[in-house]
Amino acid sequence: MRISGACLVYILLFVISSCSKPVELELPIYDDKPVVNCLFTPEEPFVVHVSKTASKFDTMLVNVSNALVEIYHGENFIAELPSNGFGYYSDSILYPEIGKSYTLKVKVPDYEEISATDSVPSTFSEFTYKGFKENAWFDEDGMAYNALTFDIEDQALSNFFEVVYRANYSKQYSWQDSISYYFWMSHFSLFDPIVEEGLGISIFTDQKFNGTNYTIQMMDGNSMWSADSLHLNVQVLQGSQTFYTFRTSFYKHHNAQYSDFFNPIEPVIMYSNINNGYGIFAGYRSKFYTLTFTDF
Amino acid sequence: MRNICLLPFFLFISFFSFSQNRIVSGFIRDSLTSEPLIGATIWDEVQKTGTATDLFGHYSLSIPSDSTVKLVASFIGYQSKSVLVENNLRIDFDLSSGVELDEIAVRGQKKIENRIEMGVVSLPVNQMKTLPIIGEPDVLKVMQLMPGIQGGSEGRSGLYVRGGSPDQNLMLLDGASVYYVNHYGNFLSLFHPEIISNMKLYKCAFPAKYGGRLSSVVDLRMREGNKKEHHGSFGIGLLSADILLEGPIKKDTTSYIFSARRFYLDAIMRPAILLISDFVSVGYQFYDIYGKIAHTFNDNNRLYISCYNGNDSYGYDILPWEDEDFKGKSRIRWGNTLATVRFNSKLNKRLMSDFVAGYTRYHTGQSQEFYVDSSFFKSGNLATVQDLSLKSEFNYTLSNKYQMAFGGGIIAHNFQPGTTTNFKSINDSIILNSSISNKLQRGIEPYLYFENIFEPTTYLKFNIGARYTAYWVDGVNYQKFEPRLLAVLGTERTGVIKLSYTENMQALHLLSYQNVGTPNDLWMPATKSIAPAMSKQFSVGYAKTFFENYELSVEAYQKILGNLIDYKEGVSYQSTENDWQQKVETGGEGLSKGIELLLKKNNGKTTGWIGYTLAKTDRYFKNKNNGKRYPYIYDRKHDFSLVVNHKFNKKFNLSASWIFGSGYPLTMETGYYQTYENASWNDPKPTGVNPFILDDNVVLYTGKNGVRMGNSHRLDLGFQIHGKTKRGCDKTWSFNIYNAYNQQNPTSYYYDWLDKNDKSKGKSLWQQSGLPIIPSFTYRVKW
Repeated sequence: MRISGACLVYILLFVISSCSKPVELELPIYDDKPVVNCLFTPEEPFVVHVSKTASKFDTMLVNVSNALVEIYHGENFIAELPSNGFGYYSDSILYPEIGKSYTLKVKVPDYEEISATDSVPSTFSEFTYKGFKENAWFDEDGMAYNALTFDIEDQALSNFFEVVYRANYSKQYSWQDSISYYFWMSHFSLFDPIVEEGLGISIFTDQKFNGTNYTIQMMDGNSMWSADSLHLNVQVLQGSQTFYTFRTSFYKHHNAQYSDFFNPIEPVIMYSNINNGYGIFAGYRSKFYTLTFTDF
Repeated sequence: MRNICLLPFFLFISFFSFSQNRIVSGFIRDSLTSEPLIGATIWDEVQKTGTATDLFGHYSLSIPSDSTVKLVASFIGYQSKSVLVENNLRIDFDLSSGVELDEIAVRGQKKIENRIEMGVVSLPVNQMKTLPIIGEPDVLKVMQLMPGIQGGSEGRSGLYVRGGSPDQNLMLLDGASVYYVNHYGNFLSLFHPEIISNMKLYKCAFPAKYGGRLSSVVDLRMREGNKKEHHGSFGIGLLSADILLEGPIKKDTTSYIFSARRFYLDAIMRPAILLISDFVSVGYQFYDIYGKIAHTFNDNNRLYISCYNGNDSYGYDILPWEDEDFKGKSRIRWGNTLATVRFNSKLNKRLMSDFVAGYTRYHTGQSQEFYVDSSFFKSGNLATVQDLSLKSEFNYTLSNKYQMAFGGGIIAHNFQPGTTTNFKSINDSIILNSSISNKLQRGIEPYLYFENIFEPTTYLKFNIGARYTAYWVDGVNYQKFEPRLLAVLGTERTGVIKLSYTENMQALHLLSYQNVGTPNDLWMPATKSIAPAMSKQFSVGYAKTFFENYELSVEAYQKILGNLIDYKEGVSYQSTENDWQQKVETGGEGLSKGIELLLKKNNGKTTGWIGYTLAKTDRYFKNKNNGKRYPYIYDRKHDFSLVVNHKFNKKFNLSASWIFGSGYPLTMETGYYQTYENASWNDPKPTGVNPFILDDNVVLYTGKNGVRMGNSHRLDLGFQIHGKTKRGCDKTWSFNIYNAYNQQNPTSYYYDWLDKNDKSKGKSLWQQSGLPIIPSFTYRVKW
């Protein structure tokens, strides 16, 4: 009992050592601004979403459905996108063209006009699937990774890549009568110096192999590799520099949200190319590579 | 190379005031223990001139060759002694301690006007022990109460000197540099006051013998053991216990001192956590072990061997739980090992020499092992920094108005950024057994220095010197000529104006998260692509003694920092991907400026000080905070401290400190907005080309360190009772109250619902407060 009593005293000491109370602090004046989001690709029509920023004291985000949304090519007006509700604006027949520079102009009542410019890359570097290797790498925790090897026939100019996969797989467990079907979408892990420090996933540039052939190993440690059959749709996205900066910024920004005492990460201010507002207007193109695995 | 050519010029200056007086020299020691008294004064009553003992208790004083003089040796808390000097040129003083401070007029140390130094913080260790400090006395926490020195977060023993980061402090324990000076979270430093005899901190105007860091020098000396009798002490406090033993190995010739301290939070924490959880046990502990042997060959030659070893361990155990076949443990360990061998020799009556060989090792690592069903997994990594150093220092006394110091040394740095081992087996079959080591980094840091301390007139004193430092790494040779200039103008009557200019080069960098002292801290050397950091500091000040006992000093400074490095935004400090050099931003700049005021009372029943600092410090990195300058994390505009220590009588002692500081800056979230994320297992599943869905939020920030926390203030109280045990040993009860009026000082802020049960009231900003009122005690017995 005496030991327990002493312990309780110490527990109490540690508990009261972190008191909380609501306070007023002189924060910088908060001004809400319009937010425009549009990632465009030649295979789909322009879809623009308009909303507003919210203060940390606000509990809801507000979509803007009365904005004027226009697409330009240089100074040439192309089209006005009608509202589809919930902050979305699109025209089902207006598709982006490869290599063409687009400017988005949005007028939200009571705010300054906002604008942004970007294009879909004019080149596309082909990927060729070379093979699969089981237990190709183990991380610090002993987790095994399988590897898919691809050759990249890199085009001249600067190219920016993002590779994601969509996995459909099935497994019949011993305790089940029927087969279970799963869907999973993710990036590959990439332990290659072509990846920016702090990312570790399949988003990279050709800065270190520009215009040459490069062999890359995409790693994955997901449980899908123990499935009975696996259908893998590997999607290679090649975006503008704006697209790449946005995507890398997004992951760094989010990683920093999980910063703690034992794994500290400095906050990252999210990249935006929207003048007088926030968000992103960036172009990309993509290609699918379908792989099927059975009998692991 | 052109700068090196200036060396003969400075050496030439050294000789212009040489005189033919005779030199009296010797040592001033404690009569009971024979321990040297550092900073004791020796005063020529006839010529009205004097000097102070060095770090070995040695003095040299020039007196007229044709007259008899009376020398008086004094030290705070000791009975003064006087001697008539006729033909004797070697005079040692053994002073008796235990004199009440108010009973006699004490000239214990040189007046501030006569000290040819600037920006120096020094307090007797005995006085430090009486101040109210949370948990137990700590020399670094006492330093934080001085102007120009920040402690970082509340209750911690960090050291941020004039806007510099902790790696910019040269911490020396008996001459060996210490890399990791604080235990976990900076709540306690590894410098246990019972083993420390002297501490001196330089904020500017570093003597030329010190170098390799940008912002401060902290020189700590371990005590020497009693050369006459065996003694010891034992102390026990709220969270730690310590023991000290000392005595002669050979009477009057060789002594030893040994001390050990154990922090036993784990002994309390593990059972406490097991009360809450059935299967997890968490604990933290550290220990410090100190030892020193001092041997006197003869009157002129001494040998010292000092060593220190300390380790921290934090970890958890997962115990087998019910029928789950899962157990494991994880440990994080870090610590220092130091050793020095010092040969101190008086080569002649004017020349003292000191040769030191030192070894420092800092290690940090973690290990874990887990059993899951039939598989076993074990991994670990270890990073180390090791230094081997050799140095020789010489002090030459030409006259009372002229002293020279010169010397040099070399440090070999070895950095092992990390060796990672992994082992995995399933059903006793090994499927992984690997060991990966990062590239070993080596660097060699040689240096030479000299300085001239001279007084051309009674109102003008100088310390003019320089240091040449090089750093050889990866085939690159970084060099720096570092001027060290200090001028003191004025007299005791008018007070003195002090001016100093210092340049420094630092070949080591510390990558640290907010500098809070975690095992994630990574020491790395300058490399071919990452240049050493640089600083330039200019200081001007005024100092005067009032009413014999009151010292006033006002100093203004400007410090420019260059070639700083820091982690890139968004990079995990822990990740081991790629080369560490890819994780850092380089070419950083810093600017610190401020005014410091210190009014100090050293003697009498009541001692203490008032300190105030007005300061500003910022940083700049091209790729951080959108290229805008931002406040340094521990930038504090106003910092005030009031420290009082009153000795009622031989039994009772009361102390109090009150501090006030304006808020530290921090980065805060102000808002958020929607953005795209990848569709993963979410619905709707992507069917077209577009793999993105608009279903995530982005945080808006104020900008780096763009908001100020609220102000902090706190009162700490301490009370000491001295007495005797039944067996006649000295005993001391120390009672401290930290944060006596339970002020809730801010440590962080977050947003949350004002009322979680009624969300219609909306959200509010909440303050996380630091440590509340905490009483603590220490009991110490000495025999």
